[in-house]
Amino acid sequence: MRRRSFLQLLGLGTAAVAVPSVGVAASSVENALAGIILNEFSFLKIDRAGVDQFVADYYRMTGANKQFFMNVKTKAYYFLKIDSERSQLVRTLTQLYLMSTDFFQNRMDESKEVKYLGWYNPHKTPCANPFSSIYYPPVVS
Amino acid sequence: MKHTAYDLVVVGTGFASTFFLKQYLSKAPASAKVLVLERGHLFPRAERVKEIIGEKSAYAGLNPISNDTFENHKPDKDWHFSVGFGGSSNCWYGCTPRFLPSDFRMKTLYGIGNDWPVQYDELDPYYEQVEDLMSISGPAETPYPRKKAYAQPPHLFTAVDTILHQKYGKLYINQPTARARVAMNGRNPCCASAVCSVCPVDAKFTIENSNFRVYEDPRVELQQGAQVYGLELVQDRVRKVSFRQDNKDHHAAGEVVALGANALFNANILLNSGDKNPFTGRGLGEQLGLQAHVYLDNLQSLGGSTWVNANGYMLYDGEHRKEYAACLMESSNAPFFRPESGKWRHMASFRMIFEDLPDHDNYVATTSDIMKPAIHFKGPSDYTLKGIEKMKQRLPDVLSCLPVEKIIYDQPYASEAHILGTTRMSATAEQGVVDKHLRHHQYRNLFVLGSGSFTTYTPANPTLTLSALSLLSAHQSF
Repeated sequence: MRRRSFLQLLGLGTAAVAVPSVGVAASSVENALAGIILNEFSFLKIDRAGVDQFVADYYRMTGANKQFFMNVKTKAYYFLKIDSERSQLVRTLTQLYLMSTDFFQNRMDESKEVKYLGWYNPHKTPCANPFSSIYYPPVVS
Repeated sequence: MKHTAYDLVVVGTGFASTFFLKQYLSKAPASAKVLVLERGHLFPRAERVKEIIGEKSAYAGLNPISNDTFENHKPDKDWHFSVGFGGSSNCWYGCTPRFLPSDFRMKTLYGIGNDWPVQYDELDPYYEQVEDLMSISGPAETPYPRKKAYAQPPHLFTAVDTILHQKYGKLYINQPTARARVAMNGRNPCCASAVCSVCPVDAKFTIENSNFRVYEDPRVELQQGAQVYGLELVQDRVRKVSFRQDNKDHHAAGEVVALGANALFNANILLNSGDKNPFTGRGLGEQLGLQAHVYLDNLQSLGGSTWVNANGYMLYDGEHRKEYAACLMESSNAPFFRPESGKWRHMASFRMIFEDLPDHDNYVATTSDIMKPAIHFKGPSDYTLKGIEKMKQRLPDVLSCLPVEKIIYDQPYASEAHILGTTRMSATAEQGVVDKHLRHHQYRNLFVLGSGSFTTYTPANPTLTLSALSLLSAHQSF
């Protein structure tokens, strides 16, 4: 097994070692999380201030930035460019972000700037699943 | 309490207790005296929604958080349930497939586990009753035999589901579900919000919205905030039920007692009471599930009408169960997507759910706190883990009718939110705790209800079956 793959398989502990410690210390966990989102959707026009607000809301809602382990993990994922194919955490976060924007209201129009609308909460706005039969009703022939 | 002695004392107000009580009341005389002891309190759905969206609720904090109610000796394994009136009907997701006939005959057919003392054909009319009472949505054809149509039309497929249904017929069906397809009995249609634990639109069946009115029946006295911790067992009979309410101990005499707490607490109550059956508390288990994300070439999965559109049985039953676990597929309709330009919904996502085997070394034990059981769980069996590996080998072929680009597997979930075993059903006392009527083999006026009674742990969701067992038990016993 190649060393790089082996290190990635080992996961967080090794990942933290593999990343230069100066780099980890230099970036805030907020910036790292925003970077993960921006990496994931690099082909979209993203409102950066909205991403920062989402990150602030995320940490306010979950308190995840108070967990040392999560902070190290977030920074490591950012520096290693771990995407949603390789991480359930990244998938969950990036999906939550995009669900909290106007992207689906704009019918996934990639030419429009993606703006953060506020924390996605299906209990506040039920029936908002953008792929459901409400938005794609059966075709009557 | 209004009385010191009752014809029936029921513990808990979840599915198992409520269906049992409903059947009992249909047969009991007008003079019957029934005491129901519920550990928690009613926390209405609308108030739960308020709490979730950050509004104040007068009900918040009334009920304990489930994780605080037991000692977990394997912290990476979760056990989900809801404390309060209506039990886990308040947090379930409303998936209601029946078990297959073969699920009840695992020993005979596959040499695995044990056969259930009740078989599919005998349970069939009770399945039908529960399905009607819950107004289940489901398809015309199912992989298990049914005699009448479901009460509600089926939920809608996506294009991916349609292709799989065309290939596999009744092995790939619209999921039978208690999430309403159309408005009925005060419930609204499901709109795929995918947060079913507390449904934002009141689409799923719960005890609160059931309209059964069993707890308003004049024969029934409901005591909330009353946690049962023990039974007085004398000469192979239950005499009294002991419970704590408002920091005081109380004792209620019952001609018949039905334990309808979950499998953790039914076992704890029995063990606290001195039940010496070697199977009591043993064989704790549940299924194991993981998500498979399937990227598709130019095929979108759009238009499903509920949280889980479909169930796939292609990896479920067969000779392979002699060697490894059955797998039930759930076609997800959560708002997942693929982060690639122009390919957002060019994917499907399936929850793959595997059966497990009862293991004597997975168990519930008492602690120094009489109210608080301890959970000892080693983890899934090799039978289940082999099922996962075989599924990964077989799934590409199963999905070969789809333009699959790749499949991404998540790690297994920490829980399927089902708690099985600990008072398993058997033909004799040498093999289990209760008989096919859920009556304790030794204490014949004691019923131990719920999924703790399951003899083996099929991949199908347990609620419909445990509810049908409660109906069968009360119907054939009174």
